[in-house]
Amino acid sequence: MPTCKDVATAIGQDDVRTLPWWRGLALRLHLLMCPHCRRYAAQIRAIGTAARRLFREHGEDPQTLERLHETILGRRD
Amino acid sequence: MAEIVTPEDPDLAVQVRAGNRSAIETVVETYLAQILRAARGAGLDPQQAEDVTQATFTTFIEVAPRFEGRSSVRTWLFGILYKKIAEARRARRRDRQMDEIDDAFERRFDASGSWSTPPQPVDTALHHKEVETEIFACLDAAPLRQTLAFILREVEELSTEDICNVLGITRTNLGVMLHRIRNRVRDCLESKGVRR
Repeated sequence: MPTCKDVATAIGQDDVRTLPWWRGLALRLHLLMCPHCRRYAAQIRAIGTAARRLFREHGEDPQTLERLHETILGRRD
Repeated sequence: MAEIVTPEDPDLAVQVRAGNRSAIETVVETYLAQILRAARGAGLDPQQAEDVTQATFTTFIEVAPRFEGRSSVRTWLFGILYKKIAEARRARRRDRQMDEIDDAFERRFDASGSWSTPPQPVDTALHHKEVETEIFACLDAAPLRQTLAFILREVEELSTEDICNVLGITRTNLGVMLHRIRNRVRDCLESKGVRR
């Protein structure tokens, strides 16, 4: 059975999908039994979701984009 | 008149190499916002981010005839961006073999590998300006490759292979970097008491 540290490391390193099936199964069993590791896994997932939303929703300043577009493509004329 | 080239065009790389104006415009229009966003996310201020974005595309257009097509156009662009950001940030900090976040992670477990300091609830719902500011500050303070690895994975959703190509690292390295940056951000939010 993996320890909490093994589980947290595998989650942080994105190893979960590439583990051999029996280790993946052991990890899921551990998560079922361990509220701390479940919380850790949920937080790591939430941080990714938060970053995605943060960067995408903010969008970039349209004026900056337009200026860049003109500068970059204008150079080739 | 030349045909319009779309981002999905399988010949995009070939058209780019041939210097096809429409293909180059397609690349600029498709990736401009993404490149600018990644530059901002890597901790550059708005002016630096704009300069680095411009430099990335200028280099892209200059070296397009030499593009070998071994990676996708997007991977190649992010690779150029990474080098430009690294130049802009060179003096600031270096990626280290040992990282203090590793010690912080170790200290959370006892000798048997169980949590000695279990994770505290953290409010990542992000309707709070505070959380947003913390995530930016934390990404900014981290080593460049960790920050970019995180953005390319979580925001741009690139494959493991593409990220490794962009940053010139192995899969194992990427795992270690992602683990470090995620724990950094998590610890940051926890220590600031951003709790539910």
